[in-house]
Amino acid sequence: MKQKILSIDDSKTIRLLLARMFRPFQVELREAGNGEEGLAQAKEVRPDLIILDYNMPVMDGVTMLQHLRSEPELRSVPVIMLTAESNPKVISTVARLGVRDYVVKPFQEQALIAKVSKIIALHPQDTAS
Amino acid sequence: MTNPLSQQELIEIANRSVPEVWRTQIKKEVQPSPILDLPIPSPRIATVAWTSSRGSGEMVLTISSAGAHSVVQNLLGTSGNCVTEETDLEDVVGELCNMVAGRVSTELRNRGLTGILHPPVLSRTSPTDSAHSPTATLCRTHWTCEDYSFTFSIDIHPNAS
Repeated sequence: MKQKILSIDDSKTIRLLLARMFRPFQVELREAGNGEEGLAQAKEVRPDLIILDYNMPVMDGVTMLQHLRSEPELRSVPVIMLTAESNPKVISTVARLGVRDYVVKPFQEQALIAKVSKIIALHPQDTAS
Repeated sequence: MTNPLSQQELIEIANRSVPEVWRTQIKKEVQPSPILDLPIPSPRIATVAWTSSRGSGEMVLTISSAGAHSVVQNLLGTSGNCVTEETDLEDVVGELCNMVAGRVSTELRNRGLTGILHPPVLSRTSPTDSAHSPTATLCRTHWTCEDYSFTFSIDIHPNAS
């Protein structure tokens, strides 16, 4: 069974980068361009993991997280922040909202995959279960 | 109020940040090039604003259209074929600037200047130098990577108080 990852970033570049990164794995990758779209997608697909940007139009990552944690069926969904923002206040705020990991751009792809693997099982595409 | 950082310090920060982003994300080495204010053909310009309690600033990446296409291929490989629209190309340049700005912001914080980054703004025309405040510290660095060149600048304004 494929793991469902929801990528929420206003940059199509990052969404494409993540799609390329997870292509070798049995992952169903969903995408959203801001927190509001991300919240709607999360309600629809119930992802196993969310990879979330901070700085986004319409609804930023922190606001989206606050909404997510207020939804009984979504509050336990693990979240990794992937952002260029390294302000300690932001890191401390999202830590209080239960973010599992915080990755600052630029990032090593293998390091991000390793962090994701600690949260969900990533099975290679050629060993379908 | 005097600027909290000298031009030389900003140049050193840029000289660490730009190569790291190219090496980490694009898997390419960049070389600093002599300062030549030659026009960059068909420029794609991304500006990331930075604000803090002690000042504010802008970080600007200017790269040619051909350079941006090269970055797309290096960054995304075959996924780069999905980048067909002009807005997508600009998104790549914006994200690249965002990453360099993030790295710069970390260095500024290590020097006691904790700030917040804002989403990249994209354009095709450069701000003129006359638009800069006389108290601003402007650092402009020039780079080459394979067959394209680009510039990255940091402009820090101290608060008036």
